[in-house]
Amino acid sequence: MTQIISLLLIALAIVFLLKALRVVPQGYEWTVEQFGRYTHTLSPGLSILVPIMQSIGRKINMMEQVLPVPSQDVITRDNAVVKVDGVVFYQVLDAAKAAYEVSNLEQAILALVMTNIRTVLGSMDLDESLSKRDVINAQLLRVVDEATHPWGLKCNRIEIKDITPPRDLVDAMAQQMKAERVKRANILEAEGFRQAAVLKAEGDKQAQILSAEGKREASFRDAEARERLAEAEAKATAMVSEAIRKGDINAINYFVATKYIDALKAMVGAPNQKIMLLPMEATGILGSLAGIAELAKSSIERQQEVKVETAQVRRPGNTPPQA
Amino acid sequence: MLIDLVSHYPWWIIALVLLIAELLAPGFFMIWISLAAALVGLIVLLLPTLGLLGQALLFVVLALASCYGYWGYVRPHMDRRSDQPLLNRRGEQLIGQRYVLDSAIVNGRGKARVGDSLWLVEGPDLPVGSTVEVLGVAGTTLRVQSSVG
Repeated sequence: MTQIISLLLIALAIVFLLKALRVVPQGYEWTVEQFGRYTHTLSPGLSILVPIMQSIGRKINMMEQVLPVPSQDVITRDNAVVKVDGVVFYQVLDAAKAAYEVSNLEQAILALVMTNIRTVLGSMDLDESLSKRDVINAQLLRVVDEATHPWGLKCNRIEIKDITPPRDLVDAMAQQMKAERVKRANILEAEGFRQAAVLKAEGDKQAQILSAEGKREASFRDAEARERLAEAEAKATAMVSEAIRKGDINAINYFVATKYIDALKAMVGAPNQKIMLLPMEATGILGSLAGIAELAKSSIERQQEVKVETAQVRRPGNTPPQA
Repeated sequence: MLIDLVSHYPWWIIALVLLIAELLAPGFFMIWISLAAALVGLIVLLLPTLGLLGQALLFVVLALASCYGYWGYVRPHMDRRSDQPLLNRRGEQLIGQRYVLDSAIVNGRGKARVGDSLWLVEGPDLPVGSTVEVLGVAGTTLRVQSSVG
């Protein structure tokens, strides 16, 4: 009998001590209940309880936790049905409140987040909801954080992971984007053609202007050349007439006559010439010849006069002959 | 069957089993009970005349003494301070820091922006945008005072 009592005593001692000495791991806090009523919270490390009276109530995880928000269908303001899922990051700051203020913590958080996702997305258009994730996240966080305060929680982050519109809507969006890009490409191409045409026209215009300018310049220079020629002729004529004025008309007659005869020679010497053309006053030639004769005669006379003058100069002291 | 129990062997067995359990099951504290069992084994080895009830009482006394002795005397002296005493205490980590009020403190309650989230604060009424210093924390609420500068 004593042996049984002894064994029970040993067992009791072991069980008692196992119940009395509790090691709370880091990252957790355990609530202590005295006859079922919460009294205090055990921090990480070794703690001693009074067995029978006190027991461990809830073991609360004090680390930041990630709670996935399951995918749900949400209707946006413009009546598009989208699938939305996300994650919540939260941390328990008050173990007792988290243990006793709310009966199923995770379920409560999820319900809050899911209903608020509906609220926030329901007030947005689809395009807005796809592009303003940060706004959605901030709004969700504000509401959920506020609501979870009484449970001793701090919501640090709520992130929407995926917003998935239905297949046909995604296709339509892709089509829209493609059309947008095709439009842009076409516009760019047309713009290119237009610019090319404009450039070509500009080039043609420039070429025509240049060629016109060239012609103008050329005709200017032609005119100048003619002017110079006329000037030269005028000068030549002036010189000739000056020469005539100073000399004898017969000098001109000589030139004219030689030209006249040259022309006549050309006429006569032309090949295949059946008909011989003669100027109407063929006698003019003879006249010109007479002009040459006249010229010769006058020049001979002049020479004789010169000889006489030189003879008189050679005899100094001689009085000039009396007329 | 019980004859074998009146020897020092069962105590060694108990000591070893408890030691193994200590290694396997964290969260329980069995090393001191195991030590007490080993001590009883040693005493029984020296005094084989001790009866089983005596041994049991001796074990109970030694186990309680070792545990409470460690708890009350050894632990405070050899307890290594954590180099991260504020681990998992998000609120306490903010004590002494300065933050800007995101909404005015009215009737002693307002909100301050900490990182990218907001914390409830309690303190003297202050306008939006004023800087506050965290004095303490109560659950999810920070106790603050006006901080000049």
